[in-house]
Amino acid sequence: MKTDDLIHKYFEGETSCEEEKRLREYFNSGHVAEHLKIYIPLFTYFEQEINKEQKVTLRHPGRRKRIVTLLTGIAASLLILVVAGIGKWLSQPDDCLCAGDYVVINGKCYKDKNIIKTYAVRALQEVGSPISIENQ
Amino acid sequence: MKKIHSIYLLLLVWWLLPQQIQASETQHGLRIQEVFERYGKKKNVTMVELSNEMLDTYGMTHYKSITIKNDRDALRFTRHCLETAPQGARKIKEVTDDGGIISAYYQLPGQKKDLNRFILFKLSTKGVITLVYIEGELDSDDLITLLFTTKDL
Repeated sequence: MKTDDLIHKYFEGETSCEEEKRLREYFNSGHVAEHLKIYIPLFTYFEQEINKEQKVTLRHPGRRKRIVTLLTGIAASLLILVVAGIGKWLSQPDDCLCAGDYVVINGKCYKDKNIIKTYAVRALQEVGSPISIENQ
Repeated sequence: MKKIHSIYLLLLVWWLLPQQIQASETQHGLRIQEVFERYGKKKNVTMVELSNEMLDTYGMTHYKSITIKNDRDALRFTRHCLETAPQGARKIKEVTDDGGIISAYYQLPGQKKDLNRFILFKLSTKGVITLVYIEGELDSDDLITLLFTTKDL
């Protein structure tokens, strides 16, 4: 089909996608017949717009993916920090978390068996020792 | 959001559970528990807790003691806690001076059969308070023997 007929068909709204693509390619080729040059701006404009749209649609998934990756990384790092923090907090011989066998001296918790024994025996010996009422 | 709330709740329960279990097993229903809780981690205070094989030889399942130096408020509070001993408590020994208890041994019925609980108290001449809580199968005679012979646990 000749370009003139194709343009006519285009303005009648009867062209297929393939035919419209051919028209755009023709008007962007730089070898356009003199009498058809008036249509160059129209078809080059369409071509430019299509290219822009493609760039935009191509750029978006990449950017979104990067943002998602970045946020996932930040979230994972925070989670690791929180878990590590909780772990460290729980493993510390903290005054408030002294459990099992222990001795707390001046607010500090000790878990050493010998120290615990020493203070336990000392307390037992103290309550078992005789009293001196005169000095009370 | 619901999931996050559930995780927070789970963490809270997980953190509180051991403490609650521990509190309910020891000195259940006894006022002296408050002495341990209130003064246990203060300055000039030594608090010991034992509940393992170290105690088996003496028929004990739980041992807890607190030694408080120079604290009038603690002495007042400890004496008050001793005076409000639960029903069924038996005085093995109680020595008072000027109206205040200076030495005492109490035996309390355990919550399980063959399980006795003892509270021992002493105020030294230097004003040092010693309060001991013992739980186990030992009886009062065993306890007296233990008190006068103990050199090691």
